[in-house]
Amino acid sequence: MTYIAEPAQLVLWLRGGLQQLAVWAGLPAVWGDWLGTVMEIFSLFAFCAVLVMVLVYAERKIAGHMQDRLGPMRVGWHGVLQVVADTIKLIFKESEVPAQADRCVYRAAPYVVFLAGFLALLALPLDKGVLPVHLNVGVIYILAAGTPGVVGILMAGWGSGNKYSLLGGLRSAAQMISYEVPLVLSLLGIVMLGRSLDLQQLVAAQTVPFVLYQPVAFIVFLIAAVAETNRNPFDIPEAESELTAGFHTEYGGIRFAYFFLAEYVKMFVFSALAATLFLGGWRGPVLPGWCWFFIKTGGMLFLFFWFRWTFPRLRADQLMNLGWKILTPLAFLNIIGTALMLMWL
Amino acid sequence: MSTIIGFYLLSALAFVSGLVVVTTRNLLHAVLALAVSSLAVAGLMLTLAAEFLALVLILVYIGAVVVIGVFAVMLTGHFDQPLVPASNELKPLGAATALAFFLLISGVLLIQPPARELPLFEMTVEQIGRLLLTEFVLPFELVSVLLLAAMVGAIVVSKGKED
Repeated sequence: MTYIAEPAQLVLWLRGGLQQLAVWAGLPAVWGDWLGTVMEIFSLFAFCAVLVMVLVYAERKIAGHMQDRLGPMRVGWHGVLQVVADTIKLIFKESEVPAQADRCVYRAAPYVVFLAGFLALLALPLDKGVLPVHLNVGVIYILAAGTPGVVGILMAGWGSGNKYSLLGGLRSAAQMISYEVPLVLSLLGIVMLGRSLDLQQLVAAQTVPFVLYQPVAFIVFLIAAVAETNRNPFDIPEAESELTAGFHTEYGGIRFAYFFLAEYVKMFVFSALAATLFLGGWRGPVLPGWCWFFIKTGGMLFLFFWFRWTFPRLRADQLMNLGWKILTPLAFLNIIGTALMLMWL
Repeated sequence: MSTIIGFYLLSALAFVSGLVVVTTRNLLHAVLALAVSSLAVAGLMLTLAAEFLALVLILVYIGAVVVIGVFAVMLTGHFDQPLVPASNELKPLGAATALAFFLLISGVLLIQPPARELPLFEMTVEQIGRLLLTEFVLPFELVSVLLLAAMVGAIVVSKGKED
């Protein structure tokens, strides 16, 4: 099975085939490249949809077993078709616009949030030489691609014209910009060790997984990533007992589905980023690289699910204290420590 | 060819959304249009192969400026009354500022005309980092101090007098 062990060659082979197809049809070879790019975008979109379905099923099953329940069992074998049924329901459900909504802003918000997560996905190195877009500033790209998501959530909160949505949106945005600071700072140590912002080179530099050199940064990153994705124990933006459902209270049908997609895609992006930067990415013995990538990312995702059923929700003030008074100074100390280590070792 | 098409499309987008920023009466729409405008400018930088600058522009302008702008709109009580007058009484001053800025830009372009062929830089991040820590370390630090002072000032002003 050598052709699966080298996905980089498969991608190159497909690209070459498309160029030849374009030439054969009497068009410039560049058109083949464009066609390839369009196909890559569509296949990534399909990947997103399938990925989210798998994650939702896994989360419901894991949650069920952690609470001594079985989770979904009715539709299909052990409930595997439950998510498919839910997706069909969401697609065909009417998605109305509330009368008091700011219509344009309300309609655009879910797509802005989803696009932010989706764009970040483009730069993740799945295997040696396999990533949809190669950038020599991959780390900054992933962080920058996520930022319009905050604007999207604020748009949803404002556009709904509902006080719960507005409060949820404000809380969410405040939380996301607060935790972005320790998140970015925690990655600086990695960049200093790997001497690059290129995700491929950072993986290649990890003869020993960076988590062993950067345990503090790893913990800071993990906590900040959970807060960035608005998940338990940092889910006050959508605390149902206070805010019904926060910024997406007024959303239903396919628009709600896009928020849902975005949340899980973002979780996947952060898990994959942790796996890539701290756990050695596609490096590993015996199995092909993409297997290792998905095993490590899957482990990180399991941690996310585990947190949700382990920790109670934080209060808003505790959340801000943790972010600004504990995580940010820790991240700064980590950078200083890393610099000293690099100077003397 | 595709670079030129991209340049005109992105310029048009930046220009139109910039116009929306200053003409719309809805404050929130103005802030969101500013986000679109910054995205278009970031796209322009990408066509010039300045990836790092483009990403920093997105991080700073959309991640910080626009988000803070939306916060300001929401916290200053425009939730019920989002419509505000789109112009003020400072038209002569505005015209003077615009003229001064135009003269400044044309002056710069006259002194140093844009080059037709620029050498392509590889690894711009490294070069920017090196320059920031050697040649431009003093201006960089001065700007940091200025920003810090502005931040402290903003906190003092907004906190008001304690009684």
